[in-house]
Amino acid sequence: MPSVTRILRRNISSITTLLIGVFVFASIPGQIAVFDSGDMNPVTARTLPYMITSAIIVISLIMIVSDVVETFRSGADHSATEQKETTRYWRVFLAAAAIALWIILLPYLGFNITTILLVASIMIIIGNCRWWQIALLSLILSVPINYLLGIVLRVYLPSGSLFG
Amino acid sequence: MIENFFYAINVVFQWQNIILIIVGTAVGMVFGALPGLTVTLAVTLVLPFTFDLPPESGIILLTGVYCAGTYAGSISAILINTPGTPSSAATAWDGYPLTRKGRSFEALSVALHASVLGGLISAVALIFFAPMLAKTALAFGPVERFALTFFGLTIISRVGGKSLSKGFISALFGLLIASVGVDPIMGVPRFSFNTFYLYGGVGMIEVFIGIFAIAEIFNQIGKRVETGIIATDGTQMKTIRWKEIIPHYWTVIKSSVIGIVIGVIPGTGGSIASFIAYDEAKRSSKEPEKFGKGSLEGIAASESANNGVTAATLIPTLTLGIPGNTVAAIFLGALLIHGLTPGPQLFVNQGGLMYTIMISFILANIVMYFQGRFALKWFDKIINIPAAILLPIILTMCLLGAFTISNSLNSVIVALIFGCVGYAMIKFEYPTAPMVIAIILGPMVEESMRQSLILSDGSVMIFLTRPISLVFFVLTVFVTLSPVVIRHWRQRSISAVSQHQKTTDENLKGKK
Repeated sequence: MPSVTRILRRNISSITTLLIGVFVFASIPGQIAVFDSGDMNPVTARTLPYMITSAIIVISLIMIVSDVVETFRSGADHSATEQKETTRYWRVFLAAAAIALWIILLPYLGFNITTILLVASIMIIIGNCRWWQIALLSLILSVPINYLLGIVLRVYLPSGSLFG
Repeated sequence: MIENFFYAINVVFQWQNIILIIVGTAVGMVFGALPGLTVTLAVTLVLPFTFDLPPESGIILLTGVYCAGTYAGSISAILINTPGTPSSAATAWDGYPLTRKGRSFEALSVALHASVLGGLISAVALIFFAPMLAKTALAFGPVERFALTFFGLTIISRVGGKSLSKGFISALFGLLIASVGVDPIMGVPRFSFNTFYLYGGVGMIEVFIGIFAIAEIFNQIGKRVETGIIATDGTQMKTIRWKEIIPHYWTVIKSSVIGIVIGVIPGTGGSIASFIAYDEAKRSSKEPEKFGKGSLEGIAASESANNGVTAATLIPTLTLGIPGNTVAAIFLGALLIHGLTPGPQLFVNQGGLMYTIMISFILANIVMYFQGRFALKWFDKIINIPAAILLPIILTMCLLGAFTISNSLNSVIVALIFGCVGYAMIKFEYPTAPMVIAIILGPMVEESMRQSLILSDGSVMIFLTRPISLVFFVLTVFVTLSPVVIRHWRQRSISAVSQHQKTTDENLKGKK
């Protein structure tokens, strides 16, 4: 008999889409104003969002119910037989955090310093590289790129408020 | 038509555009050859750098990246048994065994020639069929446009992944994202959450960079990255020769046509085309037993088919505004950014640009041929660049690309958010193509639907009373329900067979 926790875990993506659908559906009246246009326009700005979110809710529910029914009908827990993938989520989390930090620090420290920090941290997260590779690539991807973008595309990257 | 044709030749052969096509094919070749990096990623990364270029030059650059990226997937497939792009998977089946036999250059030679010929045949098909289809599509009103876009979205959701429901969910979220910003008919802001940035809607390019590039970087970082090992070759032949392809000319023509037919259907792509062409080549071959063990004919079939898709996929994109695959969707995005709305009107108003796109496909394939010949000797080094070096470079390009869209960090934030969304979609096996294509088609779907309902005073029967629209809706219902019916029918036939087997066994036992 499959446990509730395992069923929930298996349907986590469908539950998430269902919750997002419900949240967006509920937020439509607050997010989209409706103006009375008389008989000219039978469809308002809310019509399509209502249709889309309703469809998301219905399909997510169908996915959850059909999975639960199939699990109970077969009597076996499929997740036990599923092949485990060796994904290092901590690496992904750290990489996302490094990018978020780059976005936060960019206006203060400028492109050169933040990019050196970002490239170095990503290389350390991935591993399998030497210190001189880290130093060299960090430098190549910061100062020369900044200079080239300014010259060629006239895109001026932030130089950092801390440095005036 | 003739003046547009000559205008296009004049534009494509300007020295700046020739340089752009050389740069584009070089970038595409590197990305296509590197396992794990896709042609979609290459086109996405190059896209922000086309903003400052004239529309013709921007599209020419993208064309180079697209054609070369599709071809170069075969290089790593042959040399290290790891397809650089999914559409080169069938090439690896015969390419790698040939490398192990010391015949890698023969395999690479056939792959290059088949790709170039497939690409050229596809470009000719684009030149001939796109204007014809555009003429037909000129008769489409809002009702037909809605039915067509709705059908396009359904078929893309249907073939985009393993699960139909997940494809639909992906497309629906794409439509929801497309609805953010000011409403196209009434001008009412939607889902702006009182943020000025969201009044203009969610940026298409930021979404592309997030979903295709940053998500793929996260995926590569999370995976245990294995570097390919080139089999010891010891081949005598170190040059690319035409004579390798001559015995397989019929296979190349047939597979290119398969590629064109598959490419025209929205939602399909190079992978499906190469597998079908490979299967057909094996079926009709005089030496089917060689397939999978090192058949040059197999490589010719797979490569000409996946390159046959390249220009053909732009036929529905340019004429109907329905992207055939994700790269075509990015092309569509590029046109929209330059203020051009794809569809039949584009052939009337921007005929020169249309023919520029078509001619650039021919030039891209010719440039690709010479670059391929020149660069093949270097690819064993390029495909072994470690992930620790490669991924930070691509990530920096992604962040810079996102920043240059609006010269603000808002775009980078959106790209990061969609990077996380895209990564979750990869992990939970939600196809990303329906979402991206729905984001592009969203405004068109809504506008045509609302215009149609205004015309009919709110009656949805207008979609079923017009013949073209009715045909598209019938096709939509068929595409949606056919997998369910087929699955049910298969289950019934399997249970009937097992029941029959059980009865026969019982009868045999009774006799004994």
